[in-house]
Amino acid sequence: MLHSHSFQDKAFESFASFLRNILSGDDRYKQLVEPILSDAISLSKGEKNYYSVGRDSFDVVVFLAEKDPTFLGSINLVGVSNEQYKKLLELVSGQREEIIA
Amino acid sequence: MSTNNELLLLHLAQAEQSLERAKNNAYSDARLEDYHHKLVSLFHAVKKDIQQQTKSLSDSEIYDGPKKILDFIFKSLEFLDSSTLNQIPYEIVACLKEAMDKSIEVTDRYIIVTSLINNVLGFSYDSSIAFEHGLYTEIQTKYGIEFMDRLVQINLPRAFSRDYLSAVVLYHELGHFVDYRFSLINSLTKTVLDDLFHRRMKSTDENELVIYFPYLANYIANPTRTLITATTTSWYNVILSHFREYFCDLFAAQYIGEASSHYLKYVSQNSANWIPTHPSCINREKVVGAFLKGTPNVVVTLINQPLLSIKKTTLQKRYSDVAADDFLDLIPTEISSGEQLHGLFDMAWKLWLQQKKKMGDILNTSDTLKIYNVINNLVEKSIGNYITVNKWNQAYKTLHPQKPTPTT
Repeated sequence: MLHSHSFQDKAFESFASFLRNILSGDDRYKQLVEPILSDAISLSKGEKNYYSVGRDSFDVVVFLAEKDPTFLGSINLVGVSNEQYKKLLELVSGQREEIIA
Repeated sequence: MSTNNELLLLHLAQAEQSLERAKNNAYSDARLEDYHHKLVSLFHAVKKDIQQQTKSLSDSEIYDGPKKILDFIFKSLEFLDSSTLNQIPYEIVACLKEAMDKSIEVTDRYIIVTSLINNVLGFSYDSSIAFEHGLYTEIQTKYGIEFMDRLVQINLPRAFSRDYLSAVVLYHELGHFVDYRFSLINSLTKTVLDDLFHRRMKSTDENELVIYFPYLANYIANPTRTLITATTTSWYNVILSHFREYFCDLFAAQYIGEASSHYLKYVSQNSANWIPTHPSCINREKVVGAFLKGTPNVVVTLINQPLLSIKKTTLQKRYSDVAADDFLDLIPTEISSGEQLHGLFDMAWKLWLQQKKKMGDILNTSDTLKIYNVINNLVEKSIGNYITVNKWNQAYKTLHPQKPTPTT
């Protein structure tokens, strides 16, 4: 096979692509990122557990929650800044290298 | 213009050609027609987008935009092309659909498509496009096109496309689909490893766990434990894979009892050793046996945790026993429920394992091929009759909503 991606990889790629679209000025993607971010914040704070977070983006949610809980705790969902979107993009972009390493 | 822009145009032309080739596909399910039409609309929307670009696209604009959609169109076409009228073993699909509908959310809508492959062990599910939740949302947000149904492909060996004994393996594979859909075993593995690290599990359970995950013995015996995660040790993926296999065995056993264990035992040569992707055959059989007998077992108890928390259900027998009398009279048996539909597989296996000689006497033959064909034909006809009667009843109810259906 020339190339192959698991659907878990694709979940990360989708999330990264949403973030890149937001950073290019397309605000429609904010509504797609928000529920994932909200679940990740709740999981990192212990308000939700592995069973109660949304199922559709489970891998991304868990990754974000475990990767940098301090940064996640600093995010206010009402007004996520471009700097914060950039930082999120850096985190998920590094995800593949971590899993492969 | 960059090479990638040129390659995007190549990709676009290839997609258009493939859609053109598929335009006369005849499907067994009207929902597949609808899916196909939406795919065509999506293609035209993407093509228009590309043609309206006044400047060359950057690599990330290509990857995050049109390329992703064109990949989706190609994968969908691959599934649709193998699911045209003359290729679908629809009796098997009907049984799996019945089990799938009971295992997923009512809001989830999947269409099972099939692909026959030249590998006798090639039973598998391809749910790669069914779970691209982000992509579907994006297509709807960006192009206003909503795919009401998602495609799930079942791959089955061409040699066994009408073999209802080996088809039981597909129930195990359906388990993988359900697991991935709800991230059941991912959640469980993380929770169990957290519990082990924080010593929240009873020592009796820890000791029993070592039977099914023998490589955890040293970890559990160690007075200082570190948290096992995917990024710190490769053991994480071994534990995850083994939990997944135990789950799928149990998921299948709900519908087909021991049938899948018989086949697995033979195919894996009843291995006592585990490998990174699979637990030992002996342990797998032990777990299924405990579930079917209703005896306490730590793996069964743990797997019930995510099922209860996420799906509000637990592992339970979901088939009813079907008598072999009709088959021994060489006539299909009348099936009146989904539970009986699944029960057919258990009955067919029992017939093969325990009553082959009796069946041979009835058929006046000792030729196992004849017996094999008769059992498969009887299972197929029984399922086919059930599907036909169900469809007929539904049509009757539509025409005569006030009257009870004649067969009930």
